[in-house]
Amino acid sequence: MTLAGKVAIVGIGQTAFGKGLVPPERALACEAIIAALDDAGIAAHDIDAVSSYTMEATPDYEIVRSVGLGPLHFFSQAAHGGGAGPAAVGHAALAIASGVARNAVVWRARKRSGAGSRVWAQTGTVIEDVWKWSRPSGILRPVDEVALITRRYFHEYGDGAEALAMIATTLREYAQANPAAMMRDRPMSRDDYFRSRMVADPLRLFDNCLESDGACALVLTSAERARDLPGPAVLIEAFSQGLVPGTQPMPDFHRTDTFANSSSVTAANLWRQTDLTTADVDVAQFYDAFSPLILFSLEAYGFCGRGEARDFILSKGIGAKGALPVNTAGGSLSEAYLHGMNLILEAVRQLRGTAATAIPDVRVALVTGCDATPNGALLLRRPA
Amino acid sequence: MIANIPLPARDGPFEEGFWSALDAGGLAHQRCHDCRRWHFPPRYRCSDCGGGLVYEPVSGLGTLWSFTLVHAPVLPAFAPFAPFVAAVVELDEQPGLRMAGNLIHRAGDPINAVAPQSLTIGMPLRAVILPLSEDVRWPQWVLISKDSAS
Repeated sequence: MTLAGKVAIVGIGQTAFGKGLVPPERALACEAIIAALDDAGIAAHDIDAVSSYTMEATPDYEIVRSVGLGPLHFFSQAAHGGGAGPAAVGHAALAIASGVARNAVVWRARKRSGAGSRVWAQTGTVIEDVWKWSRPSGILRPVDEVALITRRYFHEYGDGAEALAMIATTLREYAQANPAAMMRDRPMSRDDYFRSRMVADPLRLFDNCLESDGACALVLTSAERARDLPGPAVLIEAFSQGLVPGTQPMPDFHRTDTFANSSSVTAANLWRQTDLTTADVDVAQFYDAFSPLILFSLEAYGFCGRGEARDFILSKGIGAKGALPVNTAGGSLSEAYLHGMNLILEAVRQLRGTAATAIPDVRVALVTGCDATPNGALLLRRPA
Repeated sequence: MIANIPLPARDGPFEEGFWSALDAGGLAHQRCHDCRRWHFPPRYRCSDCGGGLVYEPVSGLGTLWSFTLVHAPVLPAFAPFAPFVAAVVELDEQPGLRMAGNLIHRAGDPINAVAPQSLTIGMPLRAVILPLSEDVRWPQWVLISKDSAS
């Protein structure tokens, strides 16, 4: 038994993305969910499942009351921050495929544009969790954790500064075509990239995701019911989560082979479930809170060999005309940082043919969660 | 010591031998009774073979596995030192046995004493156990010059 083709994404919705948005986070969540329900053509009271992130601030019952969903038969939260997005969708899909629930809403809302809202800035005077082993040594922020892994990667496989610059400028170029992108009308050249300040050497300001306010939502139903709905369906071909033994989010350097990580675990189990391969993937949406995560993800999901991602990016390309268009709405670096949920919406738009930078004839799209944490991935496809 | 530095809680499970070794001025890690693998961070039993774990002293020698130069903005306690080097050290006992730490030339140096230009991945380091607070110690890592290493 597999999940392949049993569940469809039939609705997507989002708010404006930006800094200092006025509505409260809960109102943003409701706005995105209602937009996704309207897009799907499914009534609020027909939703009997909801799924989000453990880091989501609004409880499920507040969403149910505020939007008029339910009654619910399934409610779930996926763990591990940026690793959670594909899993939030995957959990809802499993509930639908197994017959526990009929129709699901998946959402993520954030107001992260205030500096004080950053998780690392709320470190207490005594650290009880795994960060006790690293933060007292000055590894304070997620960017410091990823910088350490990146420098080691450069040491093992060669300097990747040009590849990171290519990632940042390519994603910024996608954002120029995307009316929703926070970085629209703010083009960036290679020189602009290299002039940006270091945050955690070798990572610069433009290797970091945006801090954003906004919300995204999706509506899922069975592939069978999707055929009776007015809009286009996108099918879930495969889903997996992955957690590699010994992992420690996010200063994940306690395993002997740092680069055989949770993404490798997710990828192996994702590809096991399908006859599709990397050669069938028309667009990829890689979780990109930091630009090097795209390097690591290209390798983990098998688009190139270990240590070859720099060459892949520089010679094969991740732009609209490249071998593998990546993060085609601008991603977390240049569209918005909705904890990866906006990447899932962009995959759906590409498969519907409605993306701002529409890649021709997209049949299969890959979406991944954060490479630096326990994570997950979705392989999505157009109905045959 | 850094004023108001966030401190690791000492009362986590499986950790008592780690902190008490530091109290005594040494560094110890869990080692499997059966397969002899070293482990850190602490755990209930050997995650490779299921064997029992005991704390054993390590040599305190290691190599620089990776580092970053941390620029502002940072937590207020670290702000006076930014930019500073934060490092990961691989202990000589076993590939993959790694710890976070700061680099110094000698005991008493601030955490920004070592210039990143002087660092090479793989260079040898030696642990010096220093106080994070009155109650908690942690190794900092002294750069070993080629002369003193021989």
